[in-house]
Amino acid sequence: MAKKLVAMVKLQIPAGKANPAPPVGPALGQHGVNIMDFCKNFNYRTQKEGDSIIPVEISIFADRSYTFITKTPPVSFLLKKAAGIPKGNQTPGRTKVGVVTLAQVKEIAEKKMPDLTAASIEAAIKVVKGTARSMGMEVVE
Amino acid sequence: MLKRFNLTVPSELEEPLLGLADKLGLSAFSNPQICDAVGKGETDFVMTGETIVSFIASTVEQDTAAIEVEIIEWLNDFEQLPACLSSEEYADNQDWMLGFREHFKPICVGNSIIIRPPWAEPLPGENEATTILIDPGMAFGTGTHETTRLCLELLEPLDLVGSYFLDIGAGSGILAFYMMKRAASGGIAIEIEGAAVENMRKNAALNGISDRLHMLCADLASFVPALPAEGLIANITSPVIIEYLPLMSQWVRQGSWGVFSGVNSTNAAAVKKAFVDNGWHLIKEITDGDWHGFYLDRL
Repeated sequence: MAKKLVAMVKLQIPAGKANPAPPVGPALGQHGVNIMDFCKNFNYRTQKEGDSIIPVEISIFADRSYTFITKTPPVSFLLKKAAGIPKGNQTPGRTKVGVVTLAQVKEIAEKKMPDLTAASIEAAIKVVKGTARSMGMEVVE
Repeated sequence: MLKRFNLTVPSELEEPLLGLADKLGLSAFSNPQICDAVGKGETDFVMTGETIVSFIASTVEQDTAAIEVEIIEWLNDFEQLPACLSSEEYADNQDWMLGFREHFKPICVGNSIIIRPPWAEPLPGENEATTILIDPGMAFGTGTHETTRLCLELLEPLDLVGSYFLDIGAGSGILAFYMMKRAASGGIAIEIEGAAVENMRKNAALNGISDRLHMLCADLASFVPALPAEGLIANITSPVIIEYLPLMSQWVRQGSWGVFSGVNSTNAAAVKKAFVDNGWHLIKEITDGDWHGFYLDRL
């Protein structure tokens, strides 16, 4: 059928645990997507992924039907894993909450390269460094 | 209340912003911005290079003023203008399904066809024989798109009783269900996407149609029908029609009818040429906006 794409939405959802609460509800409701149908399909497809956070990209078509693909873990998840911390600094402020090396940043950039809009590995490294900075992490040589 | 912060940024700043959301303990989602690729056909699009990243915060459980300060500092750090930030508020008990359901209300097509989501009340005077129930999901064909309606309008005046048909690119199955409701003897609804076929089967059950309609997940290139059909429906894109018309034309008997849509004005002339080249005679062409629908005879 003439599936004309009208919107794309990207979300990060715990595997097997999508529900209509935020962020799924506001992200999909505004585009007229069947939220419960998405949750059922996402949960079914990711039920064996354990406690992972799954980035998902949803394509929404002109008649509000949709498809979705799941992607590799988010950069923030990989950075926290590399730094050995369970969570980013969730207290607004400037305290550094973790340290990652440039080699780890490069490794994450290579892993995430297919999912990023970056045109080169250098651009992908810049994105990962920017994410680390946003999370309150320090990147060292 | 819930407060939603929307940040319109270059797409390469999406991941760093999601990192900020992680740091602030906020749920987030993003909308990469797209626009039509002009003159490239019915389905092509391009990324604009901008993404809207949205953070959701609770005004009760979180300090939204401090969060806003953090966001503005982040924008400054990443050399983005404060004007790219906007915000809106929602009630805590918002029913997110409402937004979805507002898009799907019963639709009347042609003289007598009604497409209704299963949660909506039947319309006054609704005839079960021409009412199709569609629970929207991962399959195209919810009835809200022009091409679906064009196909239904072209099918409505036809004598379909006892006919055996093929529905190519069946999506939700809506057109095949209409055929079965109009007493077609049977048919095959072919769809390449497995998730769409699952959705089709659920909708077939909703409509009490399962036994005489064969719902098949298949690629057109590998499909071989056991019997030649008396009718062919194809609501697919122009390039697919043009590529597969020589093959599809072998799947129907001489004198069969065809209903085609999914064709926009840019491609209508090329598709009509393909009809002539493959032995089809155009009887009727209707349009809705930029979309075209065709009713033809196989010579």
